[in-house]
Amino acid sequence: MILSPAERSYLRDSLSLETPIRPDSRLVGQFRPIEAVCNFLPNFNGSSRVRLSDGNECITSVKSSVVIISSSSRDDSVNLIDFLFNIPGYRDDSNLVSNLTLTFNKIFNNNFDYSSLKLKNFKNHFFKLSIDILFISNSSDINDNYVPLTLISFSSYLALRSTRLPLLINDLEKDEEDLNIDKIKTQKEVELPMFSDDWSDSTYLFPTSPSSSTANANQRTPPLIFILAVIDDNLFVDPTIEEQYVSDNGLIVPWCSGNIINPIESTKLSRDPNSDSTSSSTVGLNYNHLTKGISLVKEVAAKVASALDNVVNTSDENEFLNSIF
Amino acid sequence: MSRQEIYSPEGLRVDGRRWNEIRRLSCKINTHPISCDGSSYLQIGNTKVMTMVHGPIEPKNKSSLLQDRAYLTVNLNIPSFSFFNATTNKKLSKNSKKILELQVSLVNIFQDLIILKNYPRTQIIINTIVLNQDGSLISSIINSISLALIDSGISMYDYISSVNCGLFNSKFPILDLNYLEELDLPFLTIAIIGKSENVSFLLLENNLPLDALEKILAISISGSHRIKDLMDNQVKKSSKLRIKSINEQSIN
Amino acid sequence: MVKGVVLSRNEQEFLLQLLAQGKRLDGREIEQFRDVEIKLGEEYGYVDVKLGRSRVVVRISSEIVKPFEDRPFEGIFNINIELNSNLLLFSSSDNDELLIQRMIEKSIKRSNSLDLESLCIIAGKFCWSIKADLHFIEFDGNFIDISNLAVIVGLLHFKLNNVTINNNQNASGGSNNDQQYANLIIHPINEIDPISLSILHIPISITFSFYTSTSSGGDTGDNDKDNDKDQSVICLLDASLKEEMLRQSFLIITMNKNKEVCQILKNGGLPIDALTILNCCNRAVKIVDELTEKIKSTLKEDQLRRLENVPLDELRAENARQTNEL
Repeated sequence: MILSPAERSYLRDSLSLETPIRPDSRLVGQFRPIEAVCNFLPNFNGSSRVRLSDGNECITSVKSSVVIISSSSRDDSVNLIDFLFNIPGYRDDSNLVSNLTLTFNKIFNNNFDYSSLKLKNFKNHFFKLSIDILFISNSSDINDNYVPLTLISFSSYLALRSTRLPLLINDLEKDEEDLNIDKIKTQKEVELPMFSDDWSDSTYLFPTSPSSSTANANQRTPPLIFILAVIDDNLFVDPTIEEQYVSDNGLIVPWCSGNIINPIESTKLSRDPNSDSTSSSTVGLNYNHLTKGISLVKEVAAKVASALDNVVNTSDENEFLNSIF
Repeated sequence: MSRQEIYSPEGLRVDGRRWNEIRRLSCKINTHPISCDGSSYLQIGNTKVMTMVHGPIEPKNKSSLLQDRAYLTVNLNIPSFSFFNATTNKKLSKNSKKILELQVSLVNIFQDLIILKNYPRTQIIINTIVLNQDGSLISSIINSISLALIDSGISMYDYISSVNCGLFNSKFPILDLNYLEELDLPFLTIAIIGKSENVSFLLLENNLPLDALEKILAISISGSHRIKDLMDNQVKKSSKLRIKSINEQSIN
Repeated sequence: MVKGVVLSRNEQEFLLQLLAQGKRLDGREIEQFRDVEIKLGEEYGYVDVKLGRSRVVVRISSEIVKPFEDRPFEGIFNINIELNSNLLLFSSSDNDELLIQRMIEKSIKRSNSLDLESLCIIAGKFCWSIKADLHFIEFDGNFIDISNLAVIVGLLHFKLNNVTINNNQNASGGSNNDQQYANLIIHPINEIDPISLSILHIPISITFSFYTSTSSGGDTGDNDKDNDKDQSVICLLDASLKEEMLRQSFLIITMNKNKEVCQILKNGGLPIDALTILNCCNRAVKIVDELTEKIKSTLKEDQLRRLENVPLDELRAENARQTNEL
C-alpha cells in the first residue's frame, strides 16, 4: 500500500495532535466493529471465526489430545498449547508466520494454568491443545505486510473460551485407596483414561460465569493480545493499516484476567519495503509510551473480554448445523 | 457390539438417508462483499468450503499475461484442521501432489466453462479454502467455485454441479457419500454442465465393475441436477434481495 | 501457455478437417491403436515398450528397507518419472510429469494390482521397496498409455531375490522387545531362483481424445455451445503428438481383463455426453483384452527363451518313471 506524501503528512499531523483525530473518527481506545461466530466446526473442541469490517477474517480451531508427560521431564520444554499458523500467500517458514507462532506460543504457554489441563487423578496425563489459525486477508496482494494481531488474538480467545473438553469417566482415585503398594500403582497408571462418548457431558475448559468482573483470581481466562500504534506521544488501540503505516513504533501488550502479562514487545509496524528502513527505527520508545500503553490496555481490556464472553455465552450450541454466514 | 452398516437391508444408511438422498445443502453467495469480487460459502452435510474470486484483475507477472484471453489461477488451501481425524501433526503442504493435481484439474474444468476470451490480458484468481471435510471434497470445491464465479459476474456458459456416488456390494448405487462411506466403498466424482448430460469432470480411483458403471453414471447425473437446482434457488433468492436493496437505495 | 512446438494454422485445419472426414494423418482408423512392441531385457525388470513412434524404457529395482511406521505389514512401491528436457518441449502442458506419475500410481497402487503385503519380509522391520524408473526415449503422443503398459509389464517381468530369515534369539531369553534380531540372507539369482512379484490383476490404460467436428482451429467458439445439433464429437483412440496438441479434452480409462474399471479420469476440457463415455468404456474392453493377451504371450516367450539354455533334465530330482514298453 502506497501513501502519497500529502496523505502521509495529513495522517501524521492529525494523529500527533494533543487530542488526536483518527481518520475513521474513533476514540483512542475504540475498536472497529467485528463479527464473531463460535462453535461452527463440529469436528473440533472449539472453533471461532472473527471478521473485521475491512474484510480480513480469522478462523481458529482448537483440538485436544491426551499426552503423557513423565514427571522427570517437567520443565519448560513441554508446551501443552501448540499454535499453528496458516496464512495463504505466505510460506510456512516465512518471517511472518514463524514470528507469529513464536509470539503466541510464548505468551500462551507462559500464562496458562496447566492444572486446568491436567486429567483428574491421573498423574502424568494432560490435555494438549493444538490451535490452528487460518488468516484470510482481504486483498489479493500479499505484499501488504499487514497482519492484524488483534483480530487473531480475539479469534483465539473466543476459540479457547468456547472449547469443551470431554468428561473423564475413569476415576483412579477410588482404586488407589485399596492399593498402597507403589509397584502396583505404577502398573495401574498405565491404565488409559476413558472419556464419555456423550458430548453433552463435556465441560468448558474455561467455565463461563455470569459475572463480568474479572477480579476473581481463580478464574483465569485466555490471554488477549493488544497491539498499539505509537505516533509521537499518542498511542492507539486497534490501528488500521494506514495508521500502522505512519506509526513510529508498535507495542504488543498481552493481557490476562485483569493483569498485564509479559512479554511486552515493541515492534515495527510500518514494514514498507520502499521506505528508508532507518527512518522510523531512530525514534525509540520512552517511559511515557510504556506507561501510557499499559494504562490504556488496562482500561479497555476488561470491556473487550466481557464483550467476547458474551459472544460465547449467547452462541448456539448447534451452530454448525446452520450456515455460518 | 453393534456394527454400523453402511447400507442396511431396510435401505437406510448410517445417518438415516436412503440410497438416493443427498445431504443437507446450504449455500450463500456474496459472503465477502468487501474483500473480493465474488464469494461463496457452501455446506453439504459437514463439509464446508469457502471460495473467493478476484477478477478480472491486472496480471501479477508478465508470464500470466495472455493476449487473447484471461489467465486463470486456482489456489487451493486445505488447512490441517479440516481433516476428519485432524491432529495438527498432519499438515497438507501447499506443494503436496494431491493439492497440485486438484488445482490442475480445477483450472482445466473452469477454463472451458468461463468465457475467457471476453477478458484478454487479465487474470482471474480463485482462492478456495476448505474449512471442514466430511466426504465429497472435490464436489464441494467445484460447486463452491461455480457459485463464487456466478456472484462475481464473470461470464460463464452455464452452472457446473458436482456430486459423488458409490457402489455398495457391487449392486446398490449410493449417492453423496460422506467420509466414512468413501473409505469403504468404491466411488466416482462427476461434474455436469447445467441441466444437460454433458460431463466435464469424471474421477474414479477405485475398482468398479464395468456393468455397474451405467447405473452409477445415471444416478450421479440426476444427483448433480438436483444440486444445480438447489444452488440456482439460492442464487435467485439472493439476487432478489440485492435488487430490492438497490431499488430501496435509489428511492431514498 | 505455449511451450516449444506450435502447430501452424494450416496443419491444424488440415488435421481437423481430416478428422471430420473420419481419416487420420498416419492413415489409421479412428479407433485403431498403434502397434505395440514389447522388448524384454536380459535382466529381470528391464522393459522397452514402443507404441508407434513413442518409446519408453522402464527399469524395476528393489531393495530392502524398513516399512512405514503406520503400515508395518506392507512393502513400498514408488514410481519415478524422468522427462528429458528436450522432450519437455513437446509436452503440451506444464503438468504432464505430475499427471503421468499420479495416473500410474493410482492405476497400480490404488487398484491393488501389486500386492504390497506380499512384499513384507518381517513385519515392522524389513520389507521390499520396489522402484520403477521410467525414461522416455521418444515421444509421439500418448504418454499415459505407454507408461502404464511399460510399468505393469516391468512388474510382471521382474523377479525378487529369494530371502531366508535366520532367527537369532538373545541368550538371556528376556521378554524385552528389541533384543531379538534376525538375519536376512539374500540369495543371489544364480544360487536360488528368484520369485516373481505378486500381481493380482493387469490394469491397462486407454486414452480417448475428443474433438468437435464443427470447430476449426484452437478453442471452441460461442456458436458451438449453442448449436447442439450441428456438433458431433469425434472420439479418437491413441492420439499421436499432433493430434494430442489439438484435442479439446481427453478421457483415460484404466481397466483389467476382468471387466473391472480401475480408474477413470476426465480432467475438464470439452464436456462430453455421458453416453459417449459409456461407449468408450465398452470399446476399451476389447482393446484391453488384446493387449493383455499380447503381454502374456510376450512374457511366456521370454520365459521359454530363458529356459532354453537351462539343462532342465539334469535339474530334475525325480526318478525316471518306468514305462512298460512290453
